[in-house]
Amino acid sequence: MLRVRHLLIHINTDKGVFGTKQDFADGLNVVRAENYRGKSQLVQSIIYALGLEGMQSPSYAVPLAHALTGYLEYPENSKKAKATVIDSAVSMEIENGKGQFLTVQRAIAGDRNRNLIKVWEGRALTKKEALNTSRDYYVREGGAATSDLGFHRRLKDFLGWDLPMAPRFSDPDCPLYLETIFPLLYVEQKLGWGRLPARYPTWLSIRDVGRRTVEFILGLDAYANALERNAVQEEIKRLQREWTRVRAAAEKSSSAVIGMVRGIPLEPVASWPPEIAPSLSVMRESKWILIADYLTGLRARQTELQGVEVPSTANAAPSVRDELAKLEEDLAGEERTVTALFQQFESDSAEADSLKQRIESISDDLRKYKDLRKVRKMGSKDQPDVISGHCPTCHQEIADSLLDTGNKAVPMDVDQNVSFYEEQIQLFTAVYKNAVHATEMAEKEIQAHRLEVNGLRERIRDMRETLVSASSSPSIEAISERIRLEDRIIRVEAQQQRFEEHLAELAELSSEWHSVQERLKKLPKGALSEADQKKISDWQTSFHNQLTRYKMGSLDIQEIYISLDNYKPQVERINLEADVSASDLIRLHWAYLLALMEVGTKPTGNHPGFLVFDEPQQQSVEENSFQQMLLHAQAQKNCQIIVTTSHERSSIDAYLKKIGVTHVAEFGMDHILQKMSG
Amino acid sequence: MMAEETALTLEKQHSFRFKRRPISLAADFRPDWKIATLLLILHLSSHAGKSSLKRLHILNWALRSPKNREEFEQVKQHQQPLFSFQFRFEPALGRAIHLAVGEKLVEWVGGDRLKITTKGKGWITDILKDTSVMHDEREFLQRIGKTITEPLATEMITVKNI
Repeated sequence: MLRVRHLLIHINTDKGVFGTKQDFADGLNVVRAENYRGKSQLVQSIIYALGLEGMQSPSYAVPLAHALTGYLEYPENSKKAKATVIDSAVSMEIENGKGQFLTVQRAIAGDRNRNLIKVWEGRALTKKEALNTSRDYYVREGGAATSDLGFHRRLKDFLGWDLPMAPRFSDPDCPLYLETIFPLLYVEQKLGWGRLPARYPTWLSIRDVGRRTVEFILGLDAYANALERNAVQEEIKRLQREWTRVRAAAEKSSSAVIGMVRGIPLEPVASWPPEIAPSLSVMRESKWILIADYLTGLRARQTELQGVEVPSTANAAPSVRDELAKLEEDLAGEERTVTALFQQFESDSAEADSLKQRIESISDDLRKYKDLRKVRKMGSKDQPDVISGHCPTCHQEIADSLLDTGNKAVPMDVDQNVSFYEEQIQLFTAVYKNAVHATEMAEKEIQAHRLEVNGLRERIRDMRETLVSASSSPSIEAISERIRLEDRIIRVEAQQQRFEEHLAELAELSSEWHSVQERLKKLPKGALSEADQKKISDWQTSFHNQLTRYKMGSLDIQEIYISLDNYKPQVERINLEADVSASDLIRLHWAYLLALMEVGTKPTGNHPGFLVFDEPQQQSVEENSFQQMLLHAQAQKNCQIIVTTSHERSSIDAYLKKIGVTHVAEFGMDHILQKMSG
Repeated sequence: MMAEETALTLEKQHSFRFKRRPISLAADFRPDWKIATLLLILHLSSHAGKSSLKRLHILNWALRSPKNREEFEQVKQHQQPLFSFQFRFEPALGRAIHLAVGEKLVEWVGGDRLKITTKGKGWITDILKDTSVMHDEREFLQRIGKTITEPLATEMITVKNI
């Protein structure tokens, strides 16, 4: 909640002190004076005192008139006199929802730094409270919204606002600056009424600023949901990345034993293990067998050998001779297989290469078409006529082609060709991926067979050595088989363990994937939750009711709705700002902001219940509509509305009295900034 | 009986109709693409926006694809012998030139030189305003600049003909 309680403008001049003091109450406050009497300066100085002039422009100039910054004219002895401003400042007491007060003071003219706001923790002006608590905070500089000494940080804490972070166009996220929120709370006279729903500052380069502010003011879940959706998407991306990494690591480590990994899903899965359990296989005798089975086989053989003494060469010779013959046959077979596989591999990679070239050439052509489409859209005045299908010389129809196709074939138009190519690229990419996969598989198989070949050669060498060594010495073949076996068991065990570790990692990722999917499910389908939709529909109802009372004439009121996308008033197929009359635009403006306050001040909203309309009777809106607006404003609870007007005195005074508005500051013909002392 | 009748009536009333499907065409065969590349060559890589036909054919072929561009540049930097850049006379360029002359984007000067006109310059300048358009092509032409002179072009053609 925000209430302005007391405002003091203090101007030291060479002719004495000028200024004004104003009290503001809850509910509707009306400031009435003739033109050029300083009404706008009064309300503008509220904004200035809060360091919020950045909502109007990025300029560092003081947004106040010369009466506050340079010189002021005043009547003296029924003549016009001129006083030069020496220094000036605005001070203001504000109150929040907890009944706490702050006094703020900011220099306008003079030597004091205008980017500093002096703050007292109490009513320093009217009650002389907390006079020794003054502290300077800064505004209009980096950190004003975030640093401990930034005034907007102090102000938001005072208001009890928890500002969301807002994404920007190029810079990192920033808090939703107060300058972006106040356009919904203060309509400046000169430019404020021209832009519906509000004149947001663009120089802060906050994305979707109109949406973010309304979401904040109404306390919509949409914002939190948008954040959550972002976070979920980030998490999904991270898990996908991790998954791919672990999957690749598992495959890579399998290559140490020329193994093949099967059954790890390409994308993360929510339940683990998958139905077909992931497995690591190695090739034995031209077949892929599970690494566990392989290991069992190796261990069995080890146990078997452990029970047998190493035979002497003489004893082993006959069986070694037989086996040698068999192994030599096996070796020849393996070598043939490798050759055949290698040919297959060559042809697969040639196919993959040609597909790749094809994709590249289509992509280049696609790029040309996209460029061409842009060129055609540019519609340069010097653009050739051939595009329209006519010969520049004889004006007969010609095809959009430089090929002499005669009448037989009509070329596709550019858009058709673009989508044709896009499809082709998709198709060829799929085929290409397949081909690459095939070559990878072939490569693995070749490696596996080569390993087999090496093993066979080793054994053959050992056997030959055995056959030529002394007959009493132990069989070399038998000894080296034992050594090889032990060595292999160690390696395969290590491999299996690493694979298990990878699987454990995947299991972990899978459970994280599960929880992120749950979070995704909880998000509402659209951007808005049910509570959000209720708020918007309440807002729209009040908006409609007001428009009816304000006698909006240029459109059927029921056709105007508040868009769920950007929260702007909209009518199907119509540009509202262009289509309604200027006076109706003002009516829309009143109704929109008043209704927003009505809904936003309810418990879950963040609207501070503060609204300033500077001269709302723009564009000669009929008196009756204006009165209806005042009536509606007067009926609002839990708020402070400040309206300035130069409407003809007698009629408005009477009307205000009739509807019971008590807080009327009537200046008549006087200037608001008056001489306060000699 | 009924079904048969229906089938017969259908046959009587409707003859077969064939619809001609449009065919896909390489972007290089679109008149405005070819004309635009022609103008780009004259604008970026030709002295006084003027070039002979044979030179245009060489640059047109060099510009056509990433592979051609690479081969051409290797020859130009003397990493490969001249004849290893095998260019072709593309009939499409001839048609594009006819159209461009008709559109008054280019004109013949002195009988054997093609020159870009003010209108041609206007169009290509408009195109170049969007820096993403024809990016690869303009980068290539800017890189080789105006270094492919008429004598060099003649040499390339002669070597080719040996």
